[in-house]
Amino acid sequence: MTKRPLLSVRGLVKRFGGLTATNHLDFDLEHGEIHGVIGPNGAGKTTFVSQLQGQLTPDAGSIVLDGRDVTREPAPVRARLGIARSFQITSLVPSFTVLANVMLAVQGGQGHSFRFWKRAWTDATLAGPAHVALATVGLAHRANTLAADLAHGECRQLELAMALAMKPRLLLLDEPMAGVGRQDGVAMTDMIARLKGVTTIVLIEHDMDAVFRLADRISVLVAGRVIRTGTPAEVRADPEVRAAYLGHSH
Amino acid sequence: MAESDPHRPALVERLAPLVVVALLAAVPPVAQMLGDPFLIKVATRVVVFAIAAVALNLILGFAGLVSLLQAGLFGVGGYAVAIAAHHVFEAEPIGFSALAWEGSTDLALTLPLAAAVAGLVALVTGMVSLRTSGPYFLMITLAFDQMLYYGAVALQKYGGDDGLQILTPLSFAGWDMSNRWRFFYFALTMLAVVLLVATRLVASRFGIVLRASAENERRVAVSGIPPYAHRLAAFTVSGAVAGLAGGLLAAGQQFVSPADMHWVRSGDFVVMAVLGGLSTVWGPVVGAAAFVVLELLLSSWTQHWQLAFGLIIVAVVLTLRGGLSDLVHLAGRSRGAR
Amino acid sequence: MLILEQTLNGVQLGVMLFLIASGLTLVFGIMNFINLAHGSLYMAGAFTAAWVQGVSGSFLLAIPAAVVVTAALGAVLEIGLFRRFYARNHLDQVLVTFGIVLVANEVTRIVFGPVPLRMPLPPALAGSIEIVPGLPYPTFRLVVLIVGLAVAALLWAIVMKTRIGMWVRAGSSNRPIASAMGVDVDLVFAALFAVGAALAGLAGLMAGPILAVQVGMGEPILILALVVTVIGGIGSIKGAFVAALMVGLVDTFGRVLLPPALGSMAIFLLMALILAFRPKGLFPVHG
Repeated sequence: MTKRPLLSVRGLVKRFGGLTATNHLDFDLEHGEIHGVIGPNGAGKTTFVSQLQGQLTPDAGSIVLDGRDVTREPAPVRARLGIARSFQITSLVPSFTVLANVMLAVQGGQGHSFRFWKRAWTDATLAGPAHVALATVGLAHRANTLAADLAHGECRQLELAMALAMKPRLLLLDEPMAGVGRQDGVAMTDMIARLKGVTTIVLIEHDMDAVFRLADRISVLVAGRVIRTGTPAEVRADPEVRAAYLGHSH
Repeated sequence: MAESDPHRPALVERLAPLVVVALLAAVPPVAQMLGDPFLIKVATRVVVFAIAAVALNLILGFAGLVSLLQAGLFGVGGYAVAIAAHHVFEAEPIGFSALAWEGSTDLALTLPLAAAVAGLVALVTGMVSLRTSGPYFLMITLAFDQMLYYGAVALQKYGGDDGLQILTPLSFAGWDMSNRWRFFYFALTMLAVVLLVATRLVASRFGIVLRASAENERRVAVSGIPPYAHRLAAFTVSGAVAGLAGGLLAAGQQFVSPADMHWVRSGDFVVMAVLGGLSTVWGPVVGAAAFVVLELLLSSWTQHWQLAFGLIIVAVVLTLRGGLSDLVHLAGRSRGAR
Repeated sequence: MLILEQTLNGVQLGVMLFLIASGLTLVFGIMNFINLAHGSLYMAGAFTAAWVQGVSGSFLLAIPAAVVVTAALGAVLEIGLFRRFYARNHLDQVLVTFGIVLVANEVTRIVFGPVPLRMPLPPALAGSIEIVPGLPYPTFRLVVLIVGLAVAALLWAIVMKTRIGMWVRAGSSNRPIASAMGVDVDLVFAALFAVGAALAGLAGLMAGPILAVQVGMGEPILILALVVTVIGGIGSIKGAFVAALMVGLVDTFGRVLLPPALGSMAIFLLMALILAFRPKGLFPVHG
């Protein structure tokens, strides 16, 4: 008996006016893998992730998460089903502290926020997991800093901590290395490596070295469709991929 | 870490609501000493408006929703109390046969009724208006406010344009409430309860979601939390409390009028919240006091006090060049989230 | 017969509302500015007309006076105050225009007193015309209807077909690009605001002989105009026109056919119904 994939995408289409950003895309994700998604600029990577997460609704096709069709489900429902996303552009609550930002994510993961009386900041079931997530990404020492005062690299770390705090079954990482300095980039790569096996990850990233080092499998996206999926070695060796993509940048 | 933990409110901020309530509590004895019972009436007005303004600020200051419906909900509560008493006075039951109710002059019954009816109206109007955002929300709440206003004007049976007088003495579970002192402390107790509940509310899980939605709605949705449901809950709670305040106003002045539901009154509530400060739960109490005192001073000085009041509003908004909300934001930055 | 007469009344209210709502929706759509004081400009138009007619005895003279005075008032408000608020948030805009509403009402009360002014019609307009056999209809209401439709057509032509309209639309979507194209955005905005004010003033002038010219007359009409703006889609002239006619007709028939309490609420129920299905109005402009 073969285990069914965690996520199965079939015939996904998304159009913006005349532009077809996602063009009959098929995609499978195995439990526990880190799956890199690469492709030239404008290949539709972020559009694809946005449809997985529910921020965009596809025009056609299906997205099935562990046997459940979530194609039409809105983002909050998918989040409760275990899909978390870290944004390409940092999306935080600026006037909240780092800890409060993560607590918000913990609440989302726990699926209930209609508690009106108990003080959230003394609630161990909130603060506990939040501190754990901050420690995982190495941001524990900044817990009481306002999110607005974080450096760029720290924002990315916080993004990741918030995604982790939801205890996701599927973590969508949209360019976690973008705009991060070399040193922070190395730290971020190490951190993602440590998440291998903890959670299933879709990793979109421009930094080829990082993707090839981290990913178990890689899908190459060109013009809104997957042209090849395979291990890093297979993808690296594929002539079509080299022609379509790697040839330009390397 | 314990001394600089931004998640705990500073001592000053925790004491402030107590101080505000204590200052108000001192008004009747002081009025007695000065031989000026009118002061108690003024203070009652402050307390009642403060309750509605604190309720408004839950959605305005914390959820970031500019609603101009507050006066309408306030009035709905007022009419609930007045109509219940009116039917007792007329000895004419509401409804008929098995569903008939003879009305009531017991505030222990009619104030919860006022809150419930106003909360229900808030729920229904909120379901529509919260589907929109920003300017749409603002204009729709304004339109709904006028709808309630016209609705009250059209209530010919209950005085229409002229409003409705309460001609029977009101009580609270057997206590006579026509005693001015007693009524004042009763209303002040309500304010204290509302302040306590609101303070806990904004610091709760629910409050975190509410405030986060005001700043970054997408982040909240991505975290698996539907902002709409939380806003609707807050809107309903705020409306119910406004109804309670309206009921208190009607009971205190033995009179309710559509004039208190006009959108200009909603604007007054926004001004109270803004004057007092949007970033704290108790700020609008100060705002309400400032408003009532200003109203009193200006109107004793000129019958055209609204001219001066309008100019003051414009001046206040103009002089804070970055906008009042920037002050709130600054306050928020030093305050953190709790 | 009754249906025809009420339909005409509804359309006539509709075109009046369009005159007011078009200024409101353009100012909002293009400058992103919520102007609660727009009803005060309508009031200013009515009072100016009533005063000029009272002093000069000429209705004809009152027309340009109302339009010019409200346009000037609009320009003064825009240049002196409102333009500082385009970049501010909606709460500040509400507060400052709310302040202006209070000031406008009180100043009007001080100058003209609390008693409503009367605006008698000149004999040529005071009678009625038999539009179909057996149905006389007030001449003035007919004139209002025709003027309103003509202005609506003119406005549509200007916004959609001319260079000025293109500037206006460019300013709405992208201010820096409009500036780069050599458009004096400040001037265009001030002019636009003045035109919106003049239209509100024109509506006030035409309302004068039908309704009472009194303090606070701007507010009911502001609410109706807001409803029109929201139903039509904020920023959409086409939406404002369609919604104005809808609101005019629903309000008129609601008052005739429904019990009073429900009749006065009819348009709000219409608004709630439409927004429940289309939260951004019938013709959304932004996103």
